[in-house]
Amino acid sequence: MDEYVLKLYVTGRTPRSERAINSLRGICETELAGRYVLVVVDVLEQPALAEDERILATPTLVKELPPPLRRMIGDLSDKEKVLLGLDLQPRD
Amino acid sequence: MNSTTATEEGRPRILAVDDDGTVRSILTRILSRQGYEVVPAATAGDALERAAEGTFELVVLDIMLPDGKGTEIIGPLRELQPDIEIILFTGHASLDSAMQAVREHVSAYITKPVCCDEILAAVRSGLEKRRLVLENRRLVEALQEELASRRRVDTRLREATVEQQVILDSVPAMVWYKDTENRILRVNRAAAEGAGLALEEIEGKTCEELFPDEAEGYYREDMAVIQSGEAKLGIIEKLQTAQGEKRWLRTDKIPHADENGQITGLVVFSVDITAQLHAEKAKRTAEANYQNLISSSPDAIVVVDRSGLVLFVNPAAVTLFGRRPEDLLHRTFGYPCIPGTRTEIDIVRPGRDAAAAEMHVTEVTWGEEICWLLSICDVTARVQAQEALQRSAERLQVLRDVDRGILGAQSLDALVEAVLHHVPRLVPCASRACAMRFDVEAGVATVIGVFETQKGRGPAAGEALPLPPSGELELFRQGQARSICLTGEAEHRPAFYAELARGGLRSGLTLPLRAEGELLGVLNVFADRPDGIAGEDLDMARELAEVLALSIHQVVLHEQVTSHAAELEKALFEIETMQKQLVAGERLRALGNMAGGVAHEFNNSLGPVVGFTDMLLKRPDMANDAVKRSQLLSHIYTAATDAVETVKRLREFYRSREREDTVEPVSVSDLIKETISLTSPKWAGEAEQEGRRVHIETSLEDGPVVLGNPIELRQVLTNLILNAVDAMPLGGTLTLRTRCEDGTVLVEVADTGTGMTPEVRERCLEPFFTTKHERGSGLGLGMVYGTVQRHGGTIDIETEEGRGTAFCIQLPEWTPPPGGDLPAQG
Repeated sequence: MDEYVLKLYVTGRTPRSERAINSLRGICETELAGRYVLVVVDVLEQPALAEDERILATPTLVKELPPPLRRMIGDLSDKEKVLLGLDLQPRD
Repeated sequence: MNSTTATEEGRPRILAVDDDGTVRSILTRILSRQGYEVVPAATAGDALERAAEGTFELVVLDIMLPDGKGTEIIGPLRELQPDIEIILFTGHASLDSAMQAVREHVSAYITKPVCCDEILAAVRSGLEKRRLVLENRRLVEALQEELASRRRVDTRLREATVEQQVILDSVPAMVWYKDTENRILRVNRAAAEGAGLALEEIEGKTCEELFPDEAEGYYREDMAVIQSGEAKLGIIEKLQTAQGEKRWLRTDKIPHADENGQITGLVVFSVDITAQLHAEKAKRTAEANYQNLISSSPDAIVVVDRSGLVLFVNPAAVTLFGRRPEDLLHRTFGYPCIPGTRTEIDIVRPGRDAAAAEMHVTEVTWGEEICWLLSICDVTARVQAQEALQRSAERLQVLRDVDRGILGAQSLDALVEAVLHHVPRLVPCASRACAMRFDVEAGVATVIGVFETQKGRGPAAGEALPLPPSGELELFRQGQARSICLTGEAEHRPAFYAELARGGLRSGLTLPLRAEGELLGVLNVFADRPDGIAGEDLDMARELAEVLALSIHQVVLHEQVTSHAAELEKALFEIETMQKQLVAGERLRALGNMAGGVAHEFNNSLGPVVGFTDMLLKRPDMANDAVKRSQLLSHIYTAATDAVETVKRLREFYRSREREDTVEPVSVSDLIKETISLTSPKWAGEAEQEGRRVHIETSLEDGPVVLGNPIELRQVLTNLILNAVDAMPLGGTLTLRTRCEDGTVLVEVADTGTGMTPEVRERCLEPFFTTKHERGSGLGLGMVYGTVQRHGGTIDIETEEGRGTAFCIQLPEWTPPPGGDLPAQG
C-alpha cells in the first residue's frame, strides 16, 4: 500500500530544513495521501547514513520506491518540479 | 523490258544506246564476250528509262537517235548515274558534236565505222578512268575524314586542358606539378595567387628562380619523394608571398610515374592553413582562458546531467565539498528542484561541519546534452554572522525588555522580579531561578527574587540562608560560575546548595552577581534535565546575571544617592540657616561700622550742644547777653540739627526690611553722595584715628537713574566703599564715578590700595570668601554680586597688586515712560 518511499536528508532543524520538510509534506498530502512513507534523516544526527547514501548536500530528497531511484536537491518549494522528479502528474 | 536491271557483283554494266539494232547487238556481243553486262537501248527515252532502273558504269551513246541527239541526254544521264563514263559513238562526226564531247568531259569520241578493238579500248579506258576517278574521290574523302577526325581530337584535347585547369583552379588548395629537376610544369590559380605571380610567370620556371630562399629546402623534400617513390603527406611549411606576407601551408607531395613506372615528377598539393592555425590558436587560447576561469573561480562549479549525475567539478568545488574529484564525479548530486534559479543548501562534508551555501542554477549545453550548471558559493561565514546578529538582536530585545522592566521597577524586589520574569525567554531550559543577596557581615544570603515553573522547589523570596563557604565566596568574587549536579543525594551536596533546590530539579548553575568588583550575591538557575545548563543557555544566564547585578548595583547606588541626597538636603538647610545668620551678622557689622561712625558724628554734634549748653548754664553773663546767647543757641541748633540729620540717615540705612523687594527709580549720583556721607565716619573718622588719610574724589553725572531697591543699592555702595577703605591701610584716594552710556549706567568705585592677587580676584565674589579673617564674613562682595545681578547688571573688576582695585558696576538705565508717572512707591 505504501507505494512511495521517500527519504529527505536535512542538516539540523534549521528554518531551511523545516521549509523543505513542510513543502514536501504538503505535496505528499495532496498528491500521495495514504500511499507514501516519508523518512526525514538529519545528517547531523546520522552522519554515517548520509555518507553511505553519498549525500553531498541537503536538502536532498531520495525517491527509493517506486523505481527508478530519483534524487533531487533544493528546498522543494516548486511543486511542479518536485512532482516531475517523483515521476508524478499533478492531480487536477 | 530488259532483264538485266541488277548489276552482277564485279561485272561492270554498260548501257549501249544505238538506234541501229545491228550495232546494238554487235556491241552487246563483243562487250558481253569481254565479261561486261550490256543493256541495250534503242532510243534516248529508252536509255534514260534503263538508266533510272539500275546502276551503269559506262554508256556507249550514239549521237543520232530517233528521239533526239545522244549528246542531249548526257546531262539527264549523269543526273541518274553520276559517275557514269560516256563514250560518244557517231556516224556523223562533226566539230560541233566533238566540241560538245570535250565540254561534256566524255571518255571517248568514236566515229563509225569502227572496229571492235577500238570500241573495247575506249570501253576499258573509260572504265579505268571511272575507276581512277572513284578511287581518287574515295581517297579524297578518306583524307577529309581523317582531317575532320583530327580536328575533333584537337578540340577535345583543348577542352580537356581547359577542363583540367578549371578543375585544378577550383581545388581549394595550391597545386604544383613539378618535374624531377625542380622545374614547375604547371600550377593552378591558387598556387599562382599564393606565390603572388601570374601563371605564365611560374610555368616553366625552376624553383630557384622563383623562390631562391626556399628552393633548396623544397627540392630536398622533393628528391626524397622522387627517390622513394612514396608520397609525403601533411608537411607543415612556411610560405613567403611576393607581397612579403607569411602564410602557413600544409603540403602533400605525391610522386607521378609514367606508364613504365618511371618517376617523372611530383604533384605538390598545399592548403593554406594560416587561418585555421590562427583559429586553432584562438580556440586553444579561449579554451585555456575558460579553463583558467573555471579553475580559479572562487565559487564551486558543478555540472550535473538531467538525472543529477555529476559530470564536472572545478577545484573550488573539490575544496568546498571536501571530497576528492573521483568521489564527486559520476556520483548523483541530485537534480536541482528549486523555484527560480537560486536556493540555499547545506554542503555535507565528511568529518567536518556542514557548510551553508548559495546555489545558482543555469541550464547549459554540455557536450550534446542539456545539463545544469550549478554555481555554489560558500556563505557559511555570512550565515553565521547573520545568525549571530539575529541572536544578538534577540538578546538585545530581551535585554531592552529587561531594561524597561528595571526602569519601571520601584523597588529592589520589583526590579529582581522584572529581571527574573525574562528567564524563560533567555534560558528556556530553566525551571527555576533564584536571586540572592549576600550580607557578608551578617553571614546571611537572602533570597530577593524567585522565578519558578512549579511552586515550592526551593526557598521563597525573603528567606535567609547561611552564606556559602568562604572558598566558594572567593571564587564568586573572581566571577566564576559553579555548576551544580542535583542528581546525587542532597546531603552530599555542599552546605550552601543543599537547601537551594529540590523536587525533581536535576541540574543547576550558580552565577555570581558582581558589580565594580564587588560581590553582591548570586543567581541560581535550575533545570529539570540532568545535563546542566550549557552553551547558549549558559551565555544567556550569564548575561542575565550581569544585568541583574548591574541593576541591583544601581538600586543600591540609588539608595545610597537617595540617602546622600537627604543628608545633603539637611546640610544645605544648615548652611542656609548659617548663611542667614551670617547675612544678619554682616548687616550688624555694617551697622556696627556705621553705628561707630554715627556715634562719632553724634558725639561731634552733641559736643557743641553739650558744650554750648553748659556754657550758657554756667555763665549767666553769656545767657544774659542776647547777642552771645543767640549765637550760642544757633550753634546748638545747628549741632542738634546735624544730630537729627545723622539719626535720619541712620534710619534711612536701617529702613524696614519689608520694603526690600520694592523697586523705584533711584538717582545713582544722589545715592552715592548719601552713602559717602553715611560712611564718612569710617573713611574720615576711623581712618584718621588709625593715622591714615583717605581722600575722596567724585565725578558724578546728574542724570543716571536706575530702577532698583535703594536700600539694597546703598548696601552695595556701602560695602564697596568700606572694602575700598579697608584696602588702603596706608591711606589713599577713593574715587567714585558715575557715567551714562548707551542705556547703561556705569558706577565705578576705585581705590589706590593693595589690589588683589589673581587668585583673590578669581574668588572674591564667592560667598564666604574673605581676606579679612575674623573681621570679615565673606558675604560683602557676595551680596554685592547678588544684588547687582538681581538688578540686571554686571560687575567688572580691574585690579593690580600694589596699585589698587576698581569695581565697575553696569546697571540698565531707567527712563521715565513718556507722559507716565513714576512707579508707585510700595
